[in-house]
Amino acid sequence: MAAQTVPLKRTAHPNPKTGFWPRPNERVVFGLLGFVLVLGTWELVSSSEYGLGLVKRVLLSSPTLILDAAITDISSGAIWPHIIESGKEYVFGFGAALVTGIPLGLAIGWFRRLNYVLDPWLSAIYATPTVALIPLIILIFGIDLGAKIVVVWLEAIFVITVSTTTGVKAADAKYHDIAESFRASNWTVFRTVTLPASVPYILTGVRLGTGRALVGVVVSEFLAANAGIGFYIALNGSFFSSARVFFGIILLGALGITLGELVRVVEKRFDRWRPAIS
Amino acid sequence: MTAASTSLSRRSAPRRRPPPNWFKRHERLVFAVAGVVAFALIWEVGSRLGVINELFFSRPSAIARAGFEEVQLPRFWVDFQASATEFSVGYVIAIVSAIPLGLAAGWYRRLQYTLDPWLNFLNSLPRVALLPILIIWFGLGVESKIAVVFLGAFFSIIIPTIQGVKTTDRRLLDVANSFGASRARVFLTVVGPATVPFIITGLRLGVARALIGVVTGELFAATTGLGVMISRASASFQTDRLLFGVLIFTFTGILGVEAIRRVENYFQRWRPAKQGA
Repeated sequence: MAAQTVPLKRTAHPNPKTGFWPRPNERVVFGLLGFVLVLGTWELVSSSEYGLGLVKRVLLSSPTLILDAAITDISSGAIWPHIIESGKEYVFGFGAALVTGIPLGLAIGWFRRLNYVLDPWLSAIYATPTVALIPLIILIFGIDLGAKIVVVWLEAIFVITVSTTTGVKAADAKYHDIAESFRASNWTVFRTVTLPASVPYILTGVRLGTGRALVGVVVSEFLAANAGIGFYIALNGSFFSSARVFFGIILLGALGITLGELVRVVEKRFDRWRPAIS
Repeated sequence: MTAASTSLSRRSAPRRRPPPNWFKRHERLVFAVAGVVAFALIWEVGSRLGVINELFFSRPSAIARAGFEEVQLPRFWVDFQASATEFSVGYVIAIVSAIPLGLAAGWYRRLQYTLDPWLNFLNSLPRVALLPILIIWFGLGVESKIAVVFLGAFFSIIIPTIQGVKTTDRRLLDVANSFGASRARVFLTVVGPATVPFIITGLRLGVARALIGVVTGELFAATTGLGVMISRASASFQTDRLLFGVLIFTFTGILGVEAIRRVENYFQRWRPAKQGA
């Protein structure tokens, strides 16, 4: 099946394979160029020992200063408690979102009337920036780990649920009809048709959820915490220690990319059996 | 035009017979309304009976009353205006910068390769994490929130835009090329229209991101705004006011998404209805 679509893609478009830049490396070369260009300019205008001092140290820091701060905080061990705290919030909150969000989404997609009842609520909460509820969650759960877990859970669950519901509903009607023609029970249809068909959607929801959960971690740590990467960023921000603020931001970005890629790997694995659909 | 497209979509779903009675026809609405009413009733009654802690969860009637009182205060409108300014200015700047840059990056391959590492990094990063540095740059006023709203929306818009340009149907490009269309012409007549749905998806995602920016920015450090109103209410345990503030954001989110859906429909008029499901 997949073989049919591949030549279609290949024949298209004048596609110069040979040129001044060998094509496979072009992406890497220009990517590095952009990367180096920004970092170089940044270093040049900054007030580090290599810079021209055009912008104050407090405002912009510089790549080398950030590297210094990172090395200091990693070797002194000051950063580890923050990473561990954020990690705990993330693992528990996101784990809870997975084990509640996926079954809820499956149920809403499967039972039409449950969908009707819950639809207005899901749409409303989906449209709400749920970070606005953090003050209330802090009121109810205090400022401990528990409150952050609730925030992370709340941030992540709805994308997962909504995406799962879409997946259940998007299962091709033809397959349903075939299964029903062969008198498959509801349970068999669910297990052999609906569930496999919704896996890609569930995984999309999970991937979006990883990002949302990270937002939950950061914002809840900004607002009330005594540890965590978000706390580290906010604290150093209030000391005007920009280098450390940027170090924290880079940590978060790295975390975000890693988690997203991790889910993408799983997505690829589950997509293998799927015939290519144009 | 509309008549043609409805008849097409009718044909694509031939098996649905008209539902027999009123209940069946309005099933969706009935269940939705019943759900909302039941939830509100349980909340209200539970709170009055003391089963639900009123201090933490308030009750619908109290939220309505708090909202009614709040809108009569001048301070509320000052807050409202601050939030509205942050949202609209940041979002508009994001639109006018992200769409052209996204189109350019999708069209010029090497520009995209150059931008890619930064786009990926910043898109994976929760942009609200930049707030502390934005506050160092722009201060506690409206400007730092505009910046965070802009950043939130910018990446949500630019990434689908680039994708839209790149996934333009090859057949259409080939046809245009076969007829000797110039690059500019291909861009204007093929790539542009094909990208519109992607841009709109980006706009829709951008609304949510922009709202998160407004709320977080104001909760974190601000002097005016609805986020400030929420944290003020929370500090004095006025849960009803807090939830009223949250509801305003909910309605803004719903309105924003609905408005974009209208825009989407407007741009989709020319498209023939899709056949099959």
